[in-house]
Parts: sequence; structure tokens; C-alpha cells
Amino acid sequence: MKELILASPVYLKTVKRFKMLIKFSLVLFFFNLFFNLGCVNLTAQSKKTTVLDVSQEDDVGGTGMSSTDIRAMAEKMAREIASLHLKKDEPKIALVSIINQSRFSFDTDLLKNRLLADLVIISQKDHRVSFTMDPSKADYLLDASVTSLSKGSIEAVSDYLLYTFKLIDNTDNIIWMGTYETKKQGNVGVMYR
Amino acid sequence: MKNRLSFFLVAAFLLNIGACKTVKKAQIGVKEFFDPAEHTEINGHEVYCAKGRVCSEVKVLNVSAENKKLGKISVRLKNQTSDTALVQIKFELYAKDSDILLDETRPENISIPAKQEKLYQMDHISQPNAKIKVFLNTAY
Repeated sequence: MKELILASPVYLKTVKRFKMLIKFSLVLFFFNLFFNLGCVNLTAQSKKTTVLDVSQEDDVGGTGMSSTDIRAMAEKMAREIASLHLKKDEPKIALVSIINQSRFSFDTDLLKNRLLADLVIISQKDHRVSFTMDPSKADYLLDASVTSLSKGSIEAVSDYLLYTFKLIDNTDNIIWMGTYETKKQGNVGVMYR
Repeated sequence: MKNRLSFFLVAAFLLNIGACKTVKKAQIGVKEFFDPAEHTEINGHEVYCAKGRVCSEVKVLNVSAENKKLGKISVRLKNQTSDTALVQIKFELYAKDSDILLDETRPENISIPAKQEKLYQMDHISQPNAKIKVFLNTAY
């Protein structure tokens, strides 16, 4: 009986088709393998070091400030300040200090330089204000501070960061105030340096 | 049979050396087919999402600009999903009827709670009769 089945044309045809299918699958597999190996993305980066766009979020995470926040904040504040209608023609503004009162450790010069660069570039569009390094020669002083409200538990931390900017005249009147805020929550503690 | 298999393997190898560029285009084309970039027009301004799904998840309801030099641009966004959405938004300003770039902003992260709307504004940027191109992207 067994010999009859093994010798039957239907069985032989099925076996032949099965063998063809195996061979075809093997060919497809090797095609796929070669193409995937050979056609890896040339522009993909290695895992050791990845060059990111400065406005791109990284995988490190963290609830403090990011490069995106700093860049967006500096641009926004610079545009607001440049659009102010101040009393004097072409007044001089000095960026006095940036005080860090948040729980994060960072170089305040980073914020200061980024903000100053944007202030100078953006204000050159209409020349309504100019900037000086010497506060004694300035008509207005620009003061800034970074404060934070932080919460933490075993499971997560959250941080609300408030960047505050004040434009003060010679009589200590606050002419303008601007703010930039971020709030982030995460379950990973990240060190800022 | 063995010769046929060897032939196919060698052919695959040679094709790989010569046809990688075409294959890569085909691979990217397939991905584009399933998630194409989206381009819409609102109030005469353009909204562009490199990943079309971003525009489906966060909808741009309105784009408006003060018709004066260095005024404000406002964009109203709505998060259509049931999660807090994070997008990066950026503006480019072009002279009307030309491709001359007048101004652009840096990408800024905006977080929108589930199912809610948010008004995003940028001051000191508009130009009379300029066309605004709003870019919406993922932050990562």
C-alpha cells in the first residue's frame, strides 16, 4: 500500500512542487539577504556616536532644558524684544545677567550667548534697538532668571521651568517682561552638567 | 538543479552590486506609499508634514498673519489623538508668487494635551502679503 502511494503520480507531483517551493524560498531568502546587506543606508550612523540636528531631541531624555528649548526660547524672546516700541530712538540695551535658580546645573553663559546672538541678529532687521556689553552705557538693562518647580516620587519626576526676562529702565521701572515655560515629566533621573 | 540554484545565487549577488541604488529607491518608495508627506493649504498658506501621519494626528485649524512688517503669525492646532501630542513646528516665509525665502524660525516643541487645541504664535516675523509655510514634524 505504501509503495503504491509513493509511486502514485499525485504524490510524485506534490513532492516535486514542494521541492520547487523550497528552492524558490531559498532563492528569495538569499536575494533578500544580499540586498539588505548590500543596500544598507549609507546615511545611517553608527551607534557609538550619532550626530543630531541641534533642534532634535536625543535619547538621553531628562526633564530639564534641552537644546531645542534654549534655541526656541532665545529666538522667541529676541523677536519680542526687537518688536518693542521703546521711548528713545535706537536705545542701547545691555544683557546684565542670567541667574539660575533652578535645580539644574548648567552654564548660564550658554543661555546668555545664545540669547545675545539672536538679539543682535534679529534687531538688525529694523535697527530699532542695539546692544552693548557695558551696562553703564545702556539705556535699558535686560535681566533674566531661570526658576523651576520640581516634583519627584519613586516612579517619576516632573519639572516646570520658567525663564523670565525683564527690561528695566534707568529709574528701575520694568518696561517689559517676557516668559518662556516648559514642563516635562520623566521616569529617569538624568544628570545635567 | 544544483547549477540552476548556483546561477540564481550568483545572479542575486551581481544584481546586488549593480542595482542597490534602484532597490533603495524602491524600498523608500514603498515606505512613502504607506506614509506619504502631506501638504495642505489653509487661508492661502501652506501646511507641510514630512510624515503625513503627523498632520492626521495634529490638525492645523487656522493659519493667520498680521499683514504688516514684523508682525505676528498665529497657528491654531488641534490634537486629535487621545494622548498628549508632541510636535515640532517651524515657519518659513516666502515672498508672494516667488520662492524667495524672507525669514524662518527655529523648530520649537509644542505639547498639546489629548483632544485639545493650542494657539501657537510668533512675533516680529510677518511680512505684508507673504506666504507662510508651516512645517509640522515629530520631535525625534
